[in-house]
Amino acid sequence: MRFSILLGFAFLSPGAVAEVNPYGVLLEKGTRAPIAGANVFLLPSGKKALTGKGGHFRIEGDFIGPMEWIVSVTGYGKLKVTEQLESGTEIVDRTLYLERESYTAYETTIYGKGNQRDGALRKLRRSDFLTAPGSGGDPVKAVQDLPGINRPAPFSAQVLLQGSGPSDTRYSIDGHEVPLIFHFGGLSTVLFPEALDRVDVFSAGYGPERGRAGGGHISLWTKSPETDRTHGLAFVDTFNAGGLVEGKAGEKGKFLLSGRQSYIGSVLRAVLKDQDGFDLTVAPTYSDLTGIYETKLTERDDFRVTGVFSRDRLEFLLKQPLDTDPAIRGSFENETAYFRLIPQLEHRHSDATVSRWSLGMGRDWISVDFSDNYFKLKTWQLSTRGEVEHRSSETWKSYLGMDHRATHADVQILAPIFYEEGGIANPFSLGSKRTVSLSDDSVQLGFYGKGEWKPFSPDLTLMPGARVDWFQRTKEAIPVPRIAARWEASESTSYRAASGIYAQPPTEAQSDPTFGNPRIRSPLAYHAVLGVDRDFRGNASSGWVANLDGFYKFLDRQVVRSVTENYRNDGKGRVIGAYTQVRYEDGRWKSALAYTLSRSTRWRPGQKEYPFEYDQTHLLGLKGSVEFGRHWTLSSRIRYATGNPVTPVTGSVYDADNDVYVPTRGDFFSDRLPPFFQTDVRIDRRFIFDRWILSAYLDIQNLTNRRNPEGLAYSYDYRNQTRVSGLPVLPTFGLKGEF
Amino acid sequence: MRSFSLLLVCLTSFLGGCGSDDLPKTQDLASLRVLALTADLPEIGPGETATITPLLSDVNGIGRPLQYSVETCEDPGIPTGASVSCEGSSSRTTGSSGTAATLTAANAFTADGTSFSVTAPSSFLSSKSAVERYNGAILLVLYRVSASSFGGLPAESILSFRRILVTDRASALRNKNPVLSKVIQNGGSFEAVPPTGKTEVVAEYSSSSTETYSLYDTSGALQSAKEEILTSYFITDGELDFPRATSRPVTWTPPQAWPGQRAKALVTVGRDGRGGETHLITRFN
Repeated sequence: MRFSILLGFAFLSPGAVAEVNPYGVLLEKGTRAPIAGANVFLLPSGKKALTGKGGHFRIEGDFIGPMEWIVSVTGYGKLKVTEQLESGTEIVDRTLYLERESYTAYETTIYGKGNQRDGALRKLRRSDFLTAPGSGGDPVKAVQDLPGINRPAPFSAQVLLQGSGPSDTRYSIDGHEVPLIFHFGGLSTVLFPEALDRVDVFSAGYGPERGRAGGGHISLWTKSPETDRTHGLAFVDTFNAGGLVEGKAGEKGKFLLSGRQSYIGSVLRAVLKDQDGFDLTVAPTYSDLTGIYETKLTERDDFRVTGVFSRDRLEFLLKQPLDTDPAIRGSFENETAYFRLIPQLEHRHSDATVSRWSLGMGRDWISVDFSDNYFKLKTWQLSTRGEVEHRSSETWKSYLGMDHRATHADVQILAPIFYEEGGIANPFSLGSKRTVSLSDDSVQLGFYGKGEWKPFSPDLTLMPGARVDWFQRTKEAIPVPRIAARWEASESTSYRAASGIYAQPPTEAQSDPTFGNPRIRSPLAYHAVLGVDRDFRGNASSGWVANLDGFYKFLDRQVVRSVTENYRNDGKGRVIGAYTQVRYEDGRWKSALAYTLSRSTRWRPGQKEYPFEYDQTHLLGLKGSVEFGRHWTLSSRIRYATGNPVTPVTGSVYDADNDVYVPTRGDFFSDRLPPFFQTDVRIDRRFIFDRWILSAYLDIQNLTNRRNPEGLAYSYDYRNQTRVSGLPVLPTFGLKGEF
Repeated sequence: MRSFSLLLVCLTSFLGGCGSDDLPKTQDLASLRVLALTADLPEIGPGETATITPLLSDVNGIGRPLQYSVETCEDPGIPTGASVSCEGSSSRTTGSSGTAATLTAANAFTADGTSFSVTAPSSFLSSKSAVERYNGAILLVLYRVSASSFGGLPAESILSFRRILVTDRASALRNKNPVLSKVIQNGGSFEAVPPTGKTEVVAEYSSSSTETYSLYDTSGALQSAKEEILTSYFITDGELDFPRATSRPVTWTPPQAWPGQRAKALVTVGRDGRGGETHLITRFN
C-alpha cells in the first residue's frame, strides 16, 4: 500500500543548525481522525515517539540522511515512508496518514444490551443502515428488514410492527411526532441518513414514555455533530443528490446542516413520455433540509435544537378518464410539506436527578386535488415533552414525564365518501360527495410515570409504569398500565418480558362528523412479549449472537366501516408470533438470519375470524456481507415472505349511472397471493485519499427480476383478474465523497 | 392520513389500469352487458313515475332469449358500503318482468330493451328534512337480465342498477337528460358503411345539456355546480384507444376485416353525473 505525505515540509531558519527534531501528527487516512497511543518509529535511528491526544508526536535527536517512518497499529495497514533529511534542517513537520484496514463498520441490531430502559426497544445504528444491502442506506427501509416487521406493500410509506396495521405505528424525530417519515411512496426517509444517530423501534410491550399507538413507535434520533474539524459529504445517485456539513460553531457550539433534492421526476418523465393518456407534469419530487445546533449552556445544561423541513410534490394529468373508474380523470396534484423546530434542554440538577425538556413546533401542509375533488389541510403543531429522572437509591430509579400534543387545523374537503373493505375499494364514482370547511383545535395530553427497580439483585430489573392519555376529540381519559422486566442471567444471556395496554386515538377521518363518526372511541391493544438474548462469543470478537422473542396482542374496539355510521368500534383482533435473529461475525464475513412466524387475525360481530390484510405467516431474511481487499465490499439480502391475504371478488353489479361495476366481496382475505421472494445485491468500493474518501456503490434490487405478485387487478366487470407485479430489477448507482 | 389514502387510491387505481392490458376492455362488446338504463325523467317528485329504457348488448349470445325483472327500494346506503340489494328493505317493491330485448344479427345484438316504469311512493320524502327533500333521496332501481342455457352457452344473469332522484324541487329545477345531437367521425357524419381507417370519434351534445344545479352542503349553505358530461363509447369490432372521454375525441381503429354475418355498431352513451343519461347506436352493415 502506498502512502504519501500530503503536507509539505516546513523549514524554519534554513541553513542555521545541523540538528533535526522531527515532529508531526498521525491521522487516519481519509477521515483525518487523530490516532493517539501509536508508536511512530524513525529508522535507522531506532528512536520512537508515542502519539498523544490529537495524534501529535515529536522525536528528539540528530537525524541526517535517509530516514524511514514506520507506524504499525492494530486495525490499520502498516505505514512505511522514506525520505531524505537534509543537514541544516532544524525542525521537520510531518503529517502521516495511516490507512484503516476497513472503513465499513457493519453491525447488526443490538437487542436489549446494556442499560436499556425499554424492554421492547430495538436500536438500529447509523453503521447498520448505511451499509445494509437492499435498503440503499436508508434508515427506515433497514427497519423494515428487522424480524417481527411485516413486509409492507410496494411504494408503502409505512412500517408494519408485528402484525399491526399501517396506522398503528407512530413516527417521531427527536421524540416529536411528524406526519410522515418517508418521502413519497416510501422512496426515502425524510432525514439525511448521515444526520442520524440511530433509529429506535418500539414494538410490542413498549414503555409508558410513549403512547397513542396500538402497534409501536419508530423514533429517529439526530446525531450530535462532530467537532474535531469540519466534516462534509456530498452524494449523487440515480434518484437524488445532496450534501451535509458539520463542525464547530463558536466556542461551545456545534452544527450540522444537510439537504437533499430528488430528480426522480425527470427520470420517470423520460420513462413515461410515451404513455398514452398520461402526462407526468411535475415530479414526483421531494426535498428535505435538516439543521442541528448543539451547545453547552452551563456545566449542568445541554441545549440543542433540531430543524427539519420536508416537501413532496407530484402532479400528473390523465388525458382521459380511468378505464376502471371514470371519476378519476383530469389533473392530479399532491403536495405534502412540513417543518419542525425541536429545541431540547437537558438539565442535571444533581448526580441523581436529570430533567429533559423539549418542544416540537411546526406546520403541516397537505394538499390533494384531483378531478374536481380536493383535500386541503393546514395545521399548526405543538408537542411538548418533559421528563424528570431521579435515582433514589442503587435499587430504584424513577421517571415522571409528560407527552402532550396540540393541533390547530384548517381543513377544506370536497370528496366522496370512499368505501373500502377487505382490501377492495368501491369505485370513487359511487361515493356521495361531501363538503367540509372548518377550523378545529385538538389537544392530546399524556402523563406517565415509570420506575426501575432492582429488588433482589443488580441483575434483575423490574420496570412498572403507567400512563394516562386524554384525547379531546373523543373526550376520553384512558389510564393504562405498563410493566417490563429484565434479568441478566449471565454475562452472555439475558431475558426480557413486557406487557401493557395501549390506547390509540381514532384518526381525524374516523371521528369526523361528516366523513366519520363523532361517537367513535379509541381502539385498545393489549400486548405481552417475552424474549431472550444470547451472545455466544464470550470475549471473542467473532462468533454467534442470537435472540428469540415471542409476542401476543389482543386488539379491542378496533374501528371498522359501518354502512349506517361510517365507522364503528366493532372490530377485534389478535396477533401471535415469534421471531429470531441469529448473527454471525467472523473477520470480514458478517451475516444475519432473521425469521418470523406469526398469525394476525381480525373479526367483527357476525363474521368469522379472518386473516389480517398483512398477515404473513413466514418472514425470512438473510443478510450478509464480505469485505474483499482494497476496500471492496459485497453484500446481499435475500427475502422470503408468505403472500398477503386477498379477498376474492365473487361478482359485480353494474352501476348504470356511473358506468362502473361494484364488486361483490367474498369472505374477507380468504385467498392469498403467491409468496414474495427477492434477492438484492450491493457492491461498494471505497477510494481512500489522504484527506477525503470517495465511495461508489451499485445496489441492485430484485437481481433475478422475479415478478413478485403484489396485488390483483380486475377487468372492468371483475370477471377476470391478473396479478400486479412489484418492481422489476432495479439498479441504483451512487457516488459519495466525504471529508 | 386522509390525503395519502386518496393519493394511494388514485395511484393504485392508475397502476391497476396500467397493468390490465391483458384483461377484457370495457369498450369491447362481447358478453351480455347492460350499457345504460336511461330514464325519461332522472329526477321526479313523490308519487311520480319515470320510464326506464335499458340498452343491452349480447354480441356473443347469438340471439338467445333474454328475460328481465325489476325491483325498487330506497337506497340502502350504497355510497357507504351497503350491498346493492333491496333485500330486507321495507320500501321494496317488485316491478315488471318479461322479455328483455330482441337482439339479432341485424341490430348487431345491441339494442334498446323493453321499457318499464317505476313510481316513487307518495310518502318517499315524508320523514326527510327540508334539506334532504331539496337535495333528494334515492329510489334504487334494480334491473336483472337473464339468459337460460342456449346453443351451448351457459345460463347467465346480470344485475344492474340506477338511481332515480326523488325531490320536492320545482319541475324547472329538476335534472333533465342531456341531448346527444350526433356522433362525429373525423369531423363529419358517419357513412352507412363502417370506417376503413383510423377514425376520430366524438359526441356532440346540445348546448342545454350541461346544466347548472344547486345543492345544500353539510353546513346548510346552498352551493351551485355545473354538470360535466362524460361520454362512454362501446364497439362491437376493432379497437378504441379510450372507453370514455369528457370532450376529447377517441380513436377507433377498425379490425383487419369486418365480420360479414352481422351488423357492426358503435354505441355512445352520455351521462351528466347526476342520473341524466342519453345514448345513440350507430350501426353499419
